[in-house]
Amino acid sequence: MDNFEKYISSRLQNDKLPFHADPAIRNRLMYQMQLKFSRSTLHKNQILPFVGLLFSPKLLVWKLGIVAVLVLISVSSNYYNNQNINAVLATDSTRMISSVDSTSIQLKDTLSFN
Amino acid sequence: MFKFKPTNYQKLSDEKLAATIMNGDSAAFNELYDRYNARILYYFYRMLGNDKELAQDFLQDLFFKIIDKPQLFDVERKFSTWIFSIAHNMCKNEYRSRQVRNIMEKGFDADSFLDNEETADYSSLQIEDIFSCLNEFDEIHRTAFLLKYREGLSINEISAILCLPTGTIKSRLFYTRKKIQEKLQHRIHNSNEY
Repeated sequence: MDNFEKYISSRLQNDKLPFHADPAIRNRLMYQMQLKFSRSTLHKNQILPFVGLLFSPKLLVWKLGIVAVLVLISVSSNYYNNQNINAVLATDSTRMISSVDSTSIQLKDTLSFN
Repeated sequence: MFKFKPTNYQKLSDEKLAATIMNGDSAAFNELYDRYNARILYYFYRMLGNDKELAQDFLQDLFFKIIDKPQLFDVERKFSTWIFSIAHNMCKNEYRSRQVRNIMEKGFDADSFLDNEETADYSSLQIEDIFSCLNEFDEIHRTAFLLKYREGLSINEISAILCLPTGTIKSRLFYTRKKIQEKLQHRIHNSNEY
């Protein structure tokens, strides 16, 4: 860098404008920013993109994993429920009926009160 | 126990802030505006013939563009390069629409450069003298000159902003510098005569 370059560089870098950016510009920009991204938030809340994602081949491994876990929970839950029912059946069938249909018991109770 | 830690935007790089703006973070935008508004305002003011109102309008328009399409910023690039290339394109469009600029390369003679630069005393010159010389150039010469000597950007960065090869940038900077030097020396010479 020769002397003239140094001179130019220092003069330009030390040059200051006699005014600043209008503060109203910042306010307008911030308002615009809020306006734009509040609009895009509404788009995010739509159901269509979610449904699209649900049936798209994206993240297939995750989806299969979640389905597998749900199936496992459902199967195991059914299995244990059936075991309990069988136990009740073997010991006391009347109690089984009461546990299956509570409304009829209530009806019987109300009838007996009346 | 997990505690929420507020982001310190002042510590984030320009590029990270720009990436955050894409998610609608207004605090990140505010920080970027703080960092760049004075620099961009200066650029527009000097590029648009020292017009204060126009410079303010252009500043606002530029940041509107960033809000409107923040996704156009390539996170692999430098943010300063991107923002100055937008600013440069805005100036270029303004010149095209006005058709006010004439390139002053006519009559340019490379041999006419003065060789006695060491002997010239520039202390009597004002900054406006430099800009009155600079305003005689087209927007590419002026942009390259401002980005190099005001913003301190490298030749590669200026090349990316103006979409021109580095060799072209170097030669334009050389030409602008020498021409301004010549004109300033001429002014000094004239003022000494009177």
